[in-house]
Amino acid sequence: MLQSVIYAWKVTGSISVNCPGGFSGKSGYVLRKSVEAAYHLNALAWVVAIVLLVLACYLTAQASLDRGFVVKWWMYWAAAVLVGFLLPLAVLSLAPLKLAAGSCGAARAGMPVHMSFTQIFPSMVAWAIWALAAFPLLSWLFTRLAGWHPASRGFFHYRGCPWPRWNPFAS
Amino acid sequence: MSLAHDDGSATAGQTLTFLALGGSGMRAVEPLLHLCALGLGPRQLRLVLIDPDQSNAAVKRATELIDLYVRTRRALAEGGAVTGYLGTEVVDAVGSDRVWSPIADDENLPDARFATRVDRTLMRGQGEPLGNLFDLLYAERVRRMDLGMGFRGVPSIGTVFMNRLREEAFFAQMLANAQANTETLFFAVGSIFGGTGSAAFPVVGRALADGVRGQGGANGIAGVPLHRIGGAVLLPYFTLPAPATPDAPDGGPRPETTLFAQNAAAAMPTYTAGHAGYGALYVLGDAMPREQDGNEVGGERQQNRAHYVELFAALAALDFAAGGGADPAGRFPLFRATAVAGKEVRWGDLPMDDAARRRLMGGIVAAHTVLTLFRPDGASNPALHDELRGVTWLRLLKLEGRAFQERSAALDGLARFYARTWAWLSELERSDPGCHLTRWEGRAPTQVRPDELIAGHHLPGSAGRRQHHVFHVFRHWNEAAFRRRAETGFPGFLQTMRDGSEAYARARFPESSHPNGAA
Repeated sequence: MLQSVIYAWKVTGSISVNCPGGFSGKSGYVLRKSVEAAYHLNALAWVVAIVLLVLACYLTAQASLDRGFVVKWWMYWAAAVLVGFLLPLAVLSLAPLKLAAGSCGAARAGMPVHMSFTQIFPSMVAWAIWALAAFPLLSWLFTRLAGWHPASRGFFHYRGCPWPRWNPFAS
Repeated sequence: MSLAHDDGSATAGQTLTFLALGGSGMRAVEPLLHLCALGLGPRQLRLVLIDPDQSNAAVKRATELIDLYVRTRRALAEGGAVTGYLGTEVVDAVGSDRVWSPIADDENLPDARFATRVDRTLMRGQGEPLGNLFDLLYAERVRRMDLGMGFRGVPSIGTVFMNRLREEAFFAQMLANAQANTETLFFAVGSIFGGTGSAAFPVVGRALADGVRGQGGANGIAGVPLHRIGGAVLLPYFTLPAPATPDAPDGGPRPETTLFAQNAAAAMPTYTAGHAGYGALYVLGDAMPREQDGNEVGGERQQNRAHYVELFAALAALDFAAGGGADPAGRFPLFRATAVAGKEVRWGDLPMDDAARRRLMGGIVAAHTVLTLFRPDGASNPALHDELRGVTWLRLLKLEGRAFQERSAALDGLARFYARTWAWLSELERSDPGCHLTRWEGRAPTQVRPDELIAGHHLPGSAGRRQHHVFHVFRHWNEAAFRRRAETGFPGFLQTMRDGSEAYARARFPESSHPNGAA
């Protein structure tokens, strides 16, 4: 599991898919390059999504740090985990993988194929766990690095969140 | 009028001696203290309260508020916070007696009737003609007036006693201080249609201008130059309902509404001709005088609601202070005039410049913040420490939530004072004619949002926006704390509160907002 989390973004071995068309029941191999491209696209989309969530959380609020914002921050954190979970499903299941030459017969080399849910699921779990860690870490970093100056708006006004104000039930 | 405000500006640097003459003058003390508490006052305010009726509700209300102000400021000063809100040092110029009574010398006499106080019974033998003249000049019911209940629309009696002011040690000290500190200004407020104010106003002006003559080899003290003496004369701005009995309980006269205008008209030439010793005069009145709730002769039951004319009298004092007095090269007296457009007073009617108006709005925002978060509706907030955890301005000021527990006396005092300010503004709002600076409709501070604090100013299209709460104000406090980050701790807190609240007022209630919109 830990391995899966740590290397979730990385292709660790050959990926086999069911051959399309008349080769049902036989397994073919996917071009490593196309698998890597799919994972990189997923990683990029994940980074953009998590950063956007952090920005939206801090920059759309109009007040200063209070219990309401801490509740909102938790909701965005939960949203980040959900996005981390669902994004690989969307990206990897739609990513067009290419069959390796000679796999499933010479005529089908280069044909687009897709990963199955069971192949994607470990990535979904892994990226969700990454999101669980990344959202508070990015929040902390942004509020520390950008939040020192009022021009950073929300990062300045809410720089007490996540630390030392992460618990909405404290007040 | 111009009320400059930044530290080091005209008003903030001045020492103003404020003489409250009679009931109406006394009632101007209250708005003046509220304005000082909201950051519009001079550096030092020396108060001289003059009224023979020491049990008067207005006297009681004024002295209670002065005590509260002084106690609160002391508590703030112990925390090192002596500027900003409640930054004005308030001093009792009269001394421990607080209120000077012109009949005080005779107070060991059990009989306070006018005839007794002028020794009518001794006007026998050779003094008989004098006694007859006295009887001729004063009707029987005037002769038996209890002076402890005030002069009740008979200023001619009051003037006799008011001249004792020149013999008072505190008055001599006041003049001596004025010689030493040539920046000190004097401002008197009193009505000229009643008794005590009418009696005192010309005497006080003349006494200040003339100084004290030397007696028995003692050196006299020179008077104060006219340009440093200002005053607000209040023309009839209220009427009294018909009394239950024609005479007062002591058999003496009652103030008569029908004579108010006549009294004022008769008195005005003294002032227009410059005989009263004032370099600048602010003449205030209302074309539609309000009828008071009751017609009581002195005492604690003479309780009247706050009136905007009293607020204008206090603003006149601050305007005089801001200008450093009247122009020394000018012709005296100078008159200042303003007018209220319409029946009710709104922000645009206040005779103050934009900066002062903004400061007043900021003060109201700050008072509301204190009464909403730090001391909700005046009560303590046990969750304050948690609610403030991690708040940016708090961290920039290097404060912790528990710092406010250590300064709880200062915050308690501040909340008590601002609760009085809230009640006073609410009273002005309900008054008739109304002073619609606010539209709180009798609600407690926690029931009013910051964005609806100021009446008549709302941003176009703001109705559907998210409703504000006190943490929206804190956004501006954060920026104020960032700008003032060299000042930390509790002193920095009060500065941040002032700067931040004014910034919120600027952003939320801009001049360009709809002047008559629903707040």
